[in-house]
Amino acid sequence: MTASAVRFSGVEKTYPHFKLAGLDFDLPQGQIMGFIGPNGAGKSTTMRILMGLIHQDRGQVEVLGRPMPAEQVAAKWDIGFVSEDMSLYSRQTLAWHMEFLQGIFPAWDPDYAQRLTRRFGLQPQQKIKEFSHGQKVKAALLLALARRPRLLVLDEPTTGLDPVARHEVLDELMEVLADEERSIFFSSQNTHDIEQLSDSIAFIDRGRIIDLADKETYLDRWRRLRLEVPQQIDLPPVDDIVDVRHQGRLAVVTTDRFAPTMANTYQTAGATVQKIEPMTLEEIFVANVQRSRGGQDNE
Amino acid sequence: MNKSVVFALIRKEWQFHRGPIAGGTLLGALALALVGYGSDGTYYVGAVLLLTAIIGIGIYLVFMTTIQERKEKTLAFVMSLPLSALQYTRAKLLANALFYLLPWSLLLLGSFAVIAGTDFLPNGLIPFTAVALAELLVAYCLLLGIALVTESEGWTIFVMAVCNISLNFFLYFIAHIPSINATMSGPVAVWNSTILWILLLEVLAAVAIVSLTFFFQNRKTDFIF
Repeated sequence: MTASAVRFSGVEKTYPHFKLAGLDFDLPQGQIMGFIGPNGAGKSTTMRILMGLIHQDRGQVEVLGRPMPAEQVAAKWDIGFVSEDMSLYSRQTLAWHMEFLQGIFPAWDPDYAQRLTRRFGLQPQQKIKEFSHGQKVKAALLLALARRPRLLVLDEPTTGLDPVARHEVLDELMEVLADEERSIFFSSQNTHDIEQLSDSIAFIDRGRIIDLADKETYLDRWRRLRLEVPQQIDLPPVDDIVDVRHQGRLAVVTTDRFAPTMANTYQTAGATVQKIEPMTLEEIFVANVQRSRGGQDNE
Repeated sequence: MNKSVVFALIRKEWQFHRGPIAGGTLLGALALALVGYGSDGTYYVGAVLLLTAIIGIGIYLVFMTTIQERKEKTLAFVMSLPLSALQYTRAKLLANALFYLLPWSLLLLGSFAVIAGTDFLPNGLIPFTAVALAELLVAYCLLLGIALVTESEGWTIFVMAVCNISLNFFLYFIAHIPSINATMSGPVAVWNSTILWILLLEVLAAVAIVSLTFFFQNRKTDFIF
C-alpha cells in the first residue's frame, strides 16, 4: 500500500461566516492532487490547515506521516510552500533569499537553484521589488523547489501569470514529477493547469469537497448528450443525470456516470441522440458546482 | 535544528534594521550632547530629543518587524519555514529585545554619564532618569506584545498613542512624589526605597507583558496572513 503524503480525515473548521465541513481525502506519495474551487470555497483554509498554520476544530490531518498541527515544525522541513499570498522581501535580492534559505535547509541544492535561476530567466542580484509578478512567482517557486522538499504545497501559484510564464512554471512542475517520491498538492481556479498536472482532482465548493476522483475517471464518465425530443415524448428518468436543459425540441442531458445504455434508453423512448460529447474539466467543474449548490439550496 | 531557524530570523532582522537602529542611537547621542551642553534651552531640547529617539527606535522596530511583515505578506514566507507560531513569537521577542535593549542601554548609561559628568545637571536626576527610561522600556514591551497578539495595525497605533500620552502624566506623577522630588535637585543620586520600588514594578510589568504575550500566542489556533 502506498504511503500517504497528505491525509485529511473528517476535518472541520468553523468561522462565523464559513465552515469547512468534513474534509476527507488522501494524497498518496509521488502523486499530484489538484484542488479546484471558486473564490471563498475553502482552498486556502485547507492549505493552511495542511501547513499547521490554522488548527482544525475536528478531525485528523497527517502530512508526511506526521500529525498536524502538533508536528508542524518537523513536517515543514520537508514541505515547500508557495502561496499567492506570499511575498518575498522586496528590498532584498533573490541571491539574498537563496543564501538565507541555504543557511536554514541542509537539503538546499545550490546547483539546482542556479539551474532554475537560468531556466526561469531570473537575475540573482536583482531586488525582488524590481521583478515582474511572473518573476516573483518563479522566484518563490525556485526557493521552494531548491529545498528539495518531499511535498510541494502550491496555493494558486499560477494566478496572474501571463501564458508564457504559466507554461514555464507548469513545465518545471512536470519535471519535478520525474522524482516519483515527491508529491504535489496544488490549488487553482484554472482548470487547464490542474488538468495538465494532476493525477487526481478534488472539487471544493462552500467548504465541502463535492467530488474527488482521478483525472481520467472524470473525463471518462462525464458526458453531454444532445437529444432531439419530439413534442409528445417525455424523457424517461435515467440514473446519474446531473442536469437536463430543454430548448424547444432540443434537450441537453449531462451525466456523471455515462454508459452506452443511457443513449439506448432515450432512443427507445423516441428521442434521437444527435451527439454524445466529452466534457472539459472546466465544464465538469461548473456542472459539479451547480449540482452541489442546487442540492444545498433545496435542502 | 530548530534553534537555527530562530537564529536565522534574528540575524535577518539585524541585517534589515541595523542601519535605522544605529541612526536612532546616534540621534540619542546627539540629544545627550545637547542635554549636557550647559544651558536650560539645550537641556530641554536634548531631553525631548532623547525621549523621541528612544521612543522612535521602539516604534520603528515594532512596526518594521511585525506589522510590516504582515502588511507586505512576507509573513507567509516566514511561516513556510520549519517554525511554529510560538517559535516565531520567540524569534520576534528575542530580536526586538536585543535590538531595543542595545541602544536603550547605551543611551541610559550615556544619560548617567552626562548627568554625572556635568556640573550643570544635579546628580539627583540620575534615579529619575532611570525610572523614566524604564517606563519607555515597559511601554515598548506593551507595544510589541499588542502588535504580536492582536496582529492589528490599528490596535498597535492606538496603544502607541496611549503610551506616548501617558508618558507625560507618568513623568509628572513621579516628579511630584515627595521622596523623589526632594532628592531630584540634590548633588547626590539617592536610590531610596520609592525609586527602587518603582523600578521593581517596572521590571515586573515588563516581565508580565512578555509572559502574557507568550501565553496568548500559545493559545492561538489560527495564524492567518
